[in-house]
Amino acid sequence: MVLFTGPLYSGKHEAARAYAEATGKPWADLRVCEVQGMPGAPEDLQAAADELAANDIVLYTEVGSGLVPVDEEERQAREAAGRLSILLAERADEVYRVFCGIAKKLK
Amino acid sequence: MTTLVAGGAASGKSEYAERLVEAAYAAADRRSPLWYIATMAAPDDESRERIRKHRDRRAGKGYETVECPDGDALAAFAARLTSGAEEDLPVILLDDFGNLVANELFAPDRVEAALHPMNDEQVARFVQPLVETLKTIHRLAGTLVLVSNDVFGDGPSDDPGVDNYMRCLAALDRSVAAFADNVCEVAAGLPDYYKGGLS
Repeated sequence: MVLFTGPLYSGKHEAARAYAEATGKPWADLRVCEVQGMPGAPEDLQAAADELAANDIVLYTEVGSGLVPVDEEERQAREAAGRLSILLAERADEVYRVFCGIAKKLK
Repeated sequence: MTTLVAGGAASGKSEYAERLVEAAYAAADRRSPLWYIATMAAPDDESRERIRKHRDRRAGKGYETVECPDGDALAAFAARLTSGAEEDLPVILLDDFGNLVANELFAPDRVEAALHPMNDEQVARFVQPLVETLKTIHRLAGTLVLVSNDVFGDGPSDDPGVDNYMRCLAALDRSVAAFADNVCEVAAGLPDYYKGGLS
């Protein structure tokens, strides 16, 4: 699995397509999953990460650099989302961070 | 040579951008014009105070300030630039995209439309004239440094006006990053390059 992480609207989707093209993998054949915040209940992050890691490409929108939310549920979701991204990066063969449409390899 | 410098609030992005243009200006023996494109509108005391601080920091360094709070003013500035010998090419700093996009998107005669969700095509149409103007400046400047604001760290917003703003700003960032020679993110005053690289 290849993980593309980056802020909202940073161009992760386009970067992943460019990656697929450069590596000669037809986009239509790839299993791509977009993760924004925390998908579903944050109880079992390991299981969620295992499931997501079965994709070829995961696009992860970073949500942790704003103010801590006042709402407890939102706070926990944000915490879980950040933790999930770490677990995804551990499972990924390659990790790219996308900023202003440009991908930089972190792993 | 064009550099896009992006970063969060108070990350030191302006200071770093100023260092880049001042180094280019010094390298040209201070013979080239040194333009500072200011984008902030000054409707209240807080913004006037911010402007004063930035002005004080630039004082005595040779900057000529030109106020371009919106796309029309920026296009008028670009139209004044002419091609010339390498050593006479202007050194230009624009600070910042966040203000430019806000002023352009929420101008009194357009604000109504900016509060309804925009589709990708509307975002592209909004950004296109700004990108064209910046490309013109990019071609005619010796050194161009553009400052942008990373306002995306909180994730998505339910407010359509805020979401439109983030989408337009991000689209401008991506379009400019595509033709810029260098792109960096500044944190704690230090640059991390995603494209090209300057010290």
